[in-house]
Amino acid sequence: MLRPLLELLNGTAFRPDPINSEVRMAERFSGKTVLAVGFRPGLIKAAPVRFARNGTVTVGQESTAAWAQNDGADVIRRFVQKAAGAAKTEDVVLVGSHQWLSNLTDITFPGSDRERNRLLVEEPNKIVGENAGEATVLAIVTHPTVSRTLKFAFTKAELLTDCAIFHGTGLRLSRLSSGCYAILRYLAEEAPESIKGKELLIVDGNSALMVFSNDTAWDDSGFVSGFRNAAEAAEKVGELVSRRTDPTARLAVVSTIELDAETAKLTGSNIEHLLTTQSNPDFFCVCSEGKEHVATDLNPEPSEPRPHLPKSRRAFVFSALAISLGCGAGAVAVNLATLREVREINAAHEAQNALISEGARISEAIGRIERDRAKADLLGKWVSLGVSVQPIIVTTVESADNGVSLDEFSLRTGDGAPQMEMKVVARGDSRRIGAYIDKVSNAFGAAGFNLSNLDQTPAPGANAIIFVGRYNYPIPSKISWKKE
Amino acid sequence: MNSRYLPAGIIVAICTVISVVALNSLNARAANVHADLGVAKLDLQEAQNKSIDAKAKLANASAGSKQVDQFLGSWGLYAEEGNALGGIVDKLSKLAYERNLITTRRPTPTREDYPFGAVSATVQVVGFGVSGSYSSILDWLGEVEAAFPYGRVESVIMRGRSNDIEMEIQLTFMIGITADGRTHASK
Repeated sequence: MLRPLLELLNGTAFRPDPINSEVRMAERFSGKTVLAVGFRPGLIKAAPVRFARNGTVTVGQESTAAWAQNDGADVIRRFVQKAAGAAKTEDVVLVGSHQWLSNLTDITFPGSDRERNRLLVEEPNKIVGENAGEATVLAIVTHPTVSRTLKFAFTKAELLTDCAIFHGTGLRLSRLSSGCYAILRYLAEEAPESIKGKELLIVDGNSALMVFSNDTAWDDSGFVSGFRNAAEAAEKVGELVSRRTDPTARLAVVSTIELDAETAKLTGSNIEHLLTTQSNPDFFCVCSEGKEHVATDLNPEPSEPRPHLPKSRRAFVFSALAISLGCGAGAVAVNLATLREVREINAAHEAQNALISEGARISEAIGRIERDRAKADLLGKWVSLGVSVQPIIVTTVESADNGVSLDEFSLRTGDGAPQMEMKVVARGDSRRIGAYIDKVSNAFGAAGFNLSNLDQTPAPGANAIIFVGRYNYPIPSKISWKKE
Repeated sequence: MNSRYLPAGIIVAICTVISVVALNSLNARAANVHADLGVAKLDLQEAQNKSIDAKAKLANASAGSKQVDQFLGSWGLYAEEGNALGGIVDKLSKLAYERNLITTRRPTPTREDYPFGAVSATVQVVGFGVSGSYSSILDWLGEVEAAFPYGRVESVIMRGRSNDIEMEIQLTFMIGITADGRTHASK
């Protein structure tokens, strides 16, 4: 689950698996490099093959090493690993030539190329006949002008032997092919004009294939293999060329090795060498495929490739991802903005609370000031209305002479009222008492009191008067005195 | 989409839907928060305005408070004196003793409904009686009034003659205000 998801996210799901032989190599390795390896008895060679994004294939600098059957597979493995490291790739294309072409049969198949290739993969017997046994791996090439198909039958056991060499390298075997097959397929499918009306000779280092152009059936009589060296190859190629019925007919030649022209009978103006710009035409042809044709992978036991999605789906998936990422980015932005606003809210609340607290303190201070004012006001009134009664008593009592005696004397204020009531029970001559009362009133007046009213009533007994005088306190003008 | 990527594709689709829904939800929440921010700013502005008003009121109220403090500082101690009934009586007795006066004392409950101007005050009333010579009693009264400038002699009753005078006085000390809800003046 996780791996497909990751492949979907990083785009791998839309790229074909490098080992998917049903997909053109240019598509599998677009913008990448693979290592092409070819070996035959005595020699192993390798070269990086670069697949440009525009579809062009470029074979790079070749490296070679001597190899003998006695050396074992380790020599090949080390060489391949070193070359792959230099090419910075993990994908290897193996181009073999030794002993693979065990059968070469001309067959007729009138179907289209697409149909032929499909059937070759799915139902090979319909193309190659009933003898397509399980021990054989097939590849076919249809002549570009003659409605004939050449069948290559490879022994599966030999292919597996070659595949096994690479199992210990840690590299991916992206394609297993044959030099002759690959070159013939390339010329027939991708460069048919170059071989139309010509006979064709293909030499891949260990075998040579002669395709006669006599409008008759192809057969295996044009194939020889098992070269041990270039001299032997030139000799056997010469034998093939000499079998031509019309030596003057044009002969197209593709060779991956240097041949002695005289021995190979490849002299004359009718000889046309093809793919001369390619230092390794077999590597180039193995890796070059048109948009319509996919070369057959001879790997008899290919690994199950990872399926891939058509690129048209990528827009949907990436759109979904873009939406998700956009939403995610939007969510982050919204969250950040919200977080900032939440902080602003908290700051506003804190400031508001601080102001409220300050307001409470101010209110408390105002309350305290008002209480102090009230207290001071009250104290002021209380203190201002304080009157020393002792001088009044002295004046009142000591004025009672000259025949006036006092039976009782009292001073009283009424429950805090700014009024003092003086009660005197005086005895004596009425005229003297009147004078006394005037004197007392004057004394009160001198002390700041104002006479409010004066009552005089006779007291029991002779010449006695109850005198009650009410005097208002001397209230300072700055003090308001309102009794509710 | 082949079976290898179908579950992953479903997950991507679900994630996309969740992302869209979550973003919408976040947007709604952000809108609420934004609205809350507006309210908070308005509240803050209102609080700032109130604070400015309160400071102005405080400044206004503080004007002249120094004189009030000075006045309270001058008379506060005397005002506190009214709360100490035992101390008042002791002082009255002491002054009477120094004048060789005989003392009498009456129960003096605290009153809370004492009318004083526009307010109703709480007062401590101290009734005290002395008997002795006229001059001693009046001297004693003068000393009492001098000793308790905050005390208000609200009642003086004097009977008798010459060297056998009885005097009852009633000293009132204001210790608080109750009727209009303001706190006690002496506190």
